Amino acid sequence: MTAYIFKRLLYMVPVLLAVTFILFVLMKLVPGDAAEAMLGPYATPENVERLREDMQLDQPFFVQYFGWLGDIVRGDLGTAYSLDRPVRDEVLERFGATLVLAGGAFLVCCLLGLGAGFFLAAREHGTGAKVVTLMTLAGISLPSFWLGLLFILLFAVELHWLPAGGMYSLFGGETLGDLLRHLVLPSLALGLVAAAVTARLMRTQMLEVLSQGYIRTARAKGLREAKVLGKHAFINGFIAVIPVLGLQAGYVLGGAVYIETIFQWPGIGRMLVQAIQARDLLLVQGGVLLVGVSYLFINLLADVLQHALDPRLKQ
Amino acid sequence: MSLPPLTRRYAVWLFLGLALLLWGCRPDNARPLETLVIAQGAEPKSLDPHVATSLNDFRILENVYEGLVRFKPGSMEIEPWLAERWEVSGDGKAYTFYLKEGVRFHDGSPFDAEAVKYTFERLLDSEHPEHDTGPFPLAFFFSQVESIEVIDTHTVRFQLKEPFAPFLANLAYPTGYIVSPDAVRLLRGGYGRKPSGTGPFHVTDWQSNRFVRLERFDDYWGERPELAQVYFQTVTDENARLTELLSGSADLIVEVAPDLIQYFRDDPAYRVYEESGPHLWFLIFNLRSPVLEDVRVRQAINYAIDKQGIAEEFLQGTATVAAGPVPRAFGWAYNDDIQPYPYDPDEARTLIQEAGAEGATLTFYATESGSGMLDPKGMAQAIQADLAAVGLDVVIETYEWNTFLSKVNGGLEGQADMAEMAWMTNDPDTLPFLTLRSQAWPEEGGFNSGYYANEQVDQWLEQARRETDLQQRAALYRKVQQVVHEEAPWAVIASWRQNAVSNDRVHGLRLEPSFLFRLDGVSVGDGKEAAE
Repeated sequence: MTAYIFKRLLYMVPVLLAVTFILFVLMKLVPGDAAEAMLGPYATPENVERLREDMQLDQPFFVQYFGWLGDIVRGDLGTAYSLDRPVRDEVLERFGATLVLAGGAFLVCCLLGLGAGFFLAAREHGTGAKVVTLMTLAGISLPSFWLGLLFILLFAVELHWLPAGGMYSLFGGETLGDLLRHLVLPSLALGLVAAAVTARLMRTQMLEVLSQGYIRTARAKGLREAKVLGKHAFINGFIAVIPVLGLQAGYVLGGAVYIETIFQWPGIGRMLVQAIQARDLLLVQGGVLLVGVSYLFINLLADVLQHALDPRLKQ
Repeated sequence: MSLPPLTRRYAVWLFLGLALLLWGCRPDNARPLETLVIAQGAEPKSLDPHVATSLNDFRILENVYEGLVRFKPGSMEIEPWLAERWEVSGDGKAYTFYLKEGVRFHDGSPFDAEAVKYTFERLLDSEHPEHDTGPFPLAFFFSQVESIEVIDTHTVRFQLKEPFAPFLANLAYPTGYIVSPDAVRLLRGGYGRKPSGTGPFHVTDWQSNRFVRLERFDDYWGERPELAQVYFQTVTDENARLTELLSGSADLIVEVAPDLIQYFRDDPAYRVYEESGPHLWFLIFNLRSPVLEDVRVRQAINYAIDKQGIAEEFLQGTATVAAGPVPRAFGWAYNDDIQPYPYDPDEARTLIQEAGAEGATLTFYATESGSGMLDPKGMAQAIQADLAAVGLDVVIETYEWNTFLSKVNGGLEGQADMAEMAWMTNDPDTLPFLTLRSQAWPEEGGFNSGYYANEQVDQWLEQARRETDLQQRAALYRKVQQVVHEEAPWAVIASWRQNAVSNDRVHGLRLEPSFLFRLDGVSVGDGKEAAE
């Protein structure tokens, strides 16, 4: 197991390098000069030139790239000029908010997705199953930003049950209850699509397991149906779903960009939109890097988990 | 077949979990009494009145600071405010102000002649120890001030280099508001986040990208405001601002999109506020662009744009078509002989052909949102379509407001062929003087981002601000309007009717023609304010 994790971590190094390289090239392709953007209208050509030197913008491409890479390794992501604040602090703070939202959405995805998948497999031909199948189909087809707007209209505007946006209320302190109240709608909007995908996959995997010989054996020897479904079919189906859950975790992180904009959630997605509009390249770079790296780690975690649970993969 | 026990158990747990969640989510944050929540589109850049330039910032500043004089409510006439009265010397160059006594800044320090002197010296004197707390982009409002003399604790005299007609109107604008010298000395560059004025409200909290909170200032010299707290919430997305109002989280939204205004007009649960003002929305042409240096192309663009369609259909009557660089709101200086360029695509095509500019590609700077910019993306696209119809290929580049301002104010040369822009002013002098004179090119520190130059216009504008006779001044502005109309350094599109929408909890709000936003007469309440 340790050897496997070590091997996977080793594989991540070239992937990480590729991520940083592509990111760096993309940011270089953005029109406009970071030094000019930072100094704004009060810039004199001499000042722009001096800042370009400070920022090493006058250096050859690879010198800039490896300089930047070295800074990242030392944990220095530069200063976000539009906020006058270190990129690292801003990105980490915003990423915390995104993790809360993505966590909520992922919980929705797991609870509803696995639950619905299990139900669909257990009641393959029932009326309930047909209704749930229809719901999962709708879930896959509906874009989550549209779902988000719909939720806002229904639950915030019409019913006044939940707030339309933000992470905390303006009043009454930042309590856990307040946070949950604000979390419900965006995490549902974001998590339902992922849940629908998960449910359909879970159903397929469980049905496949249920058609296996050992299930027939288990039933023949008189094992209770609950145990057959709960222990054999669910666990074995679940193992096959884990890598997809890893992908779904990545999806909710990526989807946070527009859900955060709709719900005014102060996360990294909204930060990226604002940073792009402000042409704050260092901030964009830092934000995208963090999202990319976390995506890699989530998938690593999913693979490790699957490895730990599935004895067949150990050979 | 009954449901498998495991599913049943799972369902029970899921149900319990959701119930717990909903319990945790019960409203535990009732809105405090006498609290008003305003949602506006941009985070303030600074609450230092001399640093700020945008209407979003001014909305807050207007309630935190005061000037020596102010615009009379409901008009653009000047009335005494922190100065009880003033005298102007015979040559029009010395203004003596007699200050109100017993006024305090929010930090507790007294308002006196020294504070007035300090305020303007920090703004104007590059040697001043706190001049580096800027930059002060609108400092040239007061560039005619030669010296400020403290006569006694409550008397102060401004000596101008030359007679300057718009001086009082500029004092009534946020750039002329008085700051607490103690607070600036203490906080220096941080003052813009912890401001201290003499106004009816003081700033008690500013959470980046969330809100600025004002509270009633208990030691205020004037009438006690009814509101105890005001939140200026930053909600950048237009639809999100709407849902904030509809869901009751916000009481008031400003700069509401035209089609939404229609939606609120007939609903008794909401109030719609509208007021025309001295605003102008226009395109700046880059006269150093190889295509636009030809006056025929500039006129062609003026003919090609369906201004009527933009103002009345696209903006649904929330703006009126404008003709020249002086908004119609300044009735006395307005030139009624000038008609806006008619919508005439054929004439435009002919002019473009004559100039040999068919198929030219033009870069057009636009902004996401910004103070006074109406619907900047939509209007840019409408203009793009109109110009495509006459054979000009327009590429729109969109920027966030502060970035956009930096780019445009720095001058368009080498960047773009044209840019959209909007100004709100307090005197007919301000806009043309700052944006059309050759001495106002970006490299000179002005806002003439398109490098228009006409010696005659320069001269008239210089002359107009020295003229103390109102009729004479007006005649000069009319001449400027005529020439600028012909030479078309801009395409003047529309003047805005500002608007706001509130729910029915809000009472006593009125929008000012000066576009300054005063909350001192506003109250909230219908007995339901405990529920959020």
